[in-house]
Amino acid sequence: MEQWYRLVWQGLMTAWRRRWLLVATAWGVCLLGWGIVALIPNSYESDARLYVDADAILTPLLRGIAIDQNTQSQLEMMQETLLSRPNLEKLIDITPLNLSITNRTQRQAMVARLGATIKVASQGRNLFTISYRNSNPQLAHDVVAALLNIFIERATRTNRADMSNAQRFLDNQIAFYVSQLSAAEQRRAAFLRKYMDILPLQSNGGVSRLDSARVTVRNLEWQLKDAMARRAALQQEESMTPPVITEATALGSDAASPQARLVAAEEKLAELRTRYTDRFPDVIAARRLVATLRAELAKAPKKQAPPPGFTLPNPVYDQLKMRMIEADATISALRAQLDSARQDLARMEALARAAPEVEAQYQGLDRDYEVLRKNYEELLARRQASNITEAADTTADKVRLRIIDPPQIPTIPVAPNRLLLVSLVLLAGLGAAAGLAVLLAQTDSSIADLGQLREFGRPVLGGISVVTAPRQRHIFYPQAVGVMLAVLVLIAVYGGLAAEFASNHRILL
Amino acid sequence: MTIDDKRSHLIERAAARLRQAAAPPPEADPGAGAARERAGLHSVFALAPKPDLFEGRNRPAVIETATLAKAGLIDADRQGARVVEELRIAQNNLLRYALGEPGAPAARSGNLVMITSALAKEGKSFIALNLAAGIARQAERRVLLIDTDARPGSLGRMFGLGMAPGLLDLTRGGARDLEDLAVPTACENLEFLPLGNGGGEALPRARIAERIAEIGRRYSEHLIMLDTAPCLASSDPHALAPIVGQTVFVIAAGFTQQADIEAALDLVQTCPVVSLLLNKIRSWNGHSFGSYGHPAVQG
Repeated sequence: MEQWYRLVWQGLMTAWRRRWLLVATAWGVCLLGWGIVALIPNSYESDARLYVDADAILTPLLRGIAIDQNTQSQLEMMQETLLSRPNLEKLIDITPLNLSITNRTQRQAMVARLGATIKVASQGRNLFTISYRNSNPQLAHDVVAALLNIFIERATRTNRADMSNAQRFLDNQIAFYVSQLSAAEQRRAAFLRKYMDILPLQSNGGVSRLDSARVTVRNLEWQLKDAMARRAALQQEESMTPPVITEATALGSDAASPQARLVAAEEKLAELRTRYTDRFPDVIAARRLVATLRAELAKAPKKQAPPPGFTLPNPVYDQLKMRMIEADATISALRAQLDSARQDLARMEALARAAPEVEAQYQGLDRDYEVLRKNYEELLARRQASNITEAADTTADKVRLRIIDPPQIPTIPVAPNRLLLVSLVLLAGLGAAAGLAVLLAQTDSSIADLGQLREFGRPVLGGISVVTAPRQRHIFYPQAVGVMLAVLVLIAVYGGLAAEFASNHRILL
Repeated sequence: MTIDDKRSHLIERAAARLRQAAAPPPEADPGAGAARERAGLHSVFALAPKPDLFEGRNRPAVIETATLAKAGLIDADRQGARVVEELRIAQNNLLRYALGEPGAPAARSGNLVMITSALAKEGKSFIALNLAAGIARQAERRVLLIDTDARPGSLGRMFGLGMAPGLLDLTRGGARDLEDLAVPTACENLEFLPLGNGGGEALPRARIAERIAEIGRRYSEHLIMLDTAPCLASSDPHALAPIVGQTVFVIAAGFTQQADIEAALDLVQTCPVVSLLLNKIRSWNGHSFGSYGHPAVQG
């Protein structure tokens, strides 16, 4: 700790001893720095704000198909367009910039310099700021204004080009889709032809021919079985029916026998007597009929058998025979149909076994085709829309480029920030003095105390403190006041400069 | 000198020794006479030696107290005891180196002391004046202070004696006598010899040195202190170094760089004793001779 005090003390002593050198250093650095700051020319900035709907054409047309441009790429596009070499060349030609240009090399240097110094900044989507700095405010304004004019002129031309570009793109796309679509269509049709039998068809209600063939076979089988069962029933009937019939048999059927009539009449009489008395007319009539019949029966001789050999062909049998023949015909027809249907089915099944993925493949083809068709239709719609847009553009002048803030002739310089520079120079001057003091203290090899004195190896007589004689006070105080005054005047000069620069600098406005 | 006297003041002891040493008559030094004969000098010093410059003189003090104070003489009452004490330590050491320790032989021409420094403004004149006055006052030694510096700010100019005849006139060998040229001061036992102008004649350094050596031999009882020009600014110290018994080399603290000190010390190395004195110490903690370790004078 004590050593630190000693070091500081020695440093202060050194600084005091070389006070005028330090003051001169501070003053020299400050005056030099302030002179340089004063010599820096003023720099004026002119800027313009611009609304540019750079993707007004491309975006609605290609929405969903092309990738959207982001702001950054938009800004880059803007910079490229705005600061292109032809633009800058033209800019040099129409502004006073060309006054200082005499040859090709200077021109190229000027183009490069302009490209680097004209700033294009993005202020959000579609909003751009163009700014340029120059020591001449009028020139700064002229450059920005001229650049705007060139850009607007060129941009209107570019819009048309953009539009036709978009349409060309759409046409190309449509042509491409057409060829794709027909190819897909052909592919799908060929496939369909090849595997028509085993593919479910829209026209068939979504059922494949294979399936319907299966059903047909099953139906035919049933029908055949049915027919055969009917034939068997007919055959049994035929066997029980006699092919010829006798006379009696033939007569007995048309008139009832007297016994039968008697029985019937007796039955009627009994029935009536259960309900009515014997005096009821109907009962009397029934009893009379029964008596008549009995009398008739008793009187009439016994009947004889009809004579043999008197026969007739049985019509029922004939009928049965006819139906048998019909059934046989049906059966054979069904058999033939079944055979054919079975062959069909077998062929289809073989086909289906050979190509098991047919259905999936077909679906894939179908899907491709559908997608192509959808895109194609969409493109067609877009082209239509673009035609409409173009028509609208040419008629109504749509806003895609508008100057929001036109450039103005700047009156207040933006650079240099003299207040800051002047302050920095003051700090640098004081710092240089302080640094020099430290340096001097570091390189100082003077003797500070008796300990150091003894290192000479000579006898030491002693040490005498500094005498604060009035004579020396008279030296110290004016000197201290002088140093103070020098520093204060330096700071006062700084204050004056700072006030001067602050009053006409934007930083305090 | 007994054991009891051991505690007595160093300067008193030194003074006693000097008185003893001055006892043999100056004629007993044939070597010095022979040297004078060789040099062919015909000055006042060729006559019978006058051991005491001050004896029988009753001239009024030409240099007043106020003049001395203006030239930098410390007033113990006004400037505090500290510098005075520091000066006393230096005086004691100076006398010790000049006269030797008790029992040890004194250095050759020990009564000739040169005050010099490496650079100007290190405080040579201040130190010379204060040491001379201090020794004169304290040790009751008679001290002759000789100014050998012609530059502005020398003692002669400060006393207002810049034009007064002095050492150079003496060297030129005019009719003037040292007794006539030495100027008494308000301080008892202290006389001052200005540089003088030598009549505008350029005198060889060797002759001046020889004349100073003669003065030293002649007034061997006196302490003769030479205030000189800075070593690195003048050849005087280099020329005087071989003839003086002791060189007090003044170094201004925090000012003179080591390289300058080394160079200046090389110039005066022909002197048998070169002692260093640090002047103008600005101590950060207030005690400069605390480190010197001299408790006897702390009070």
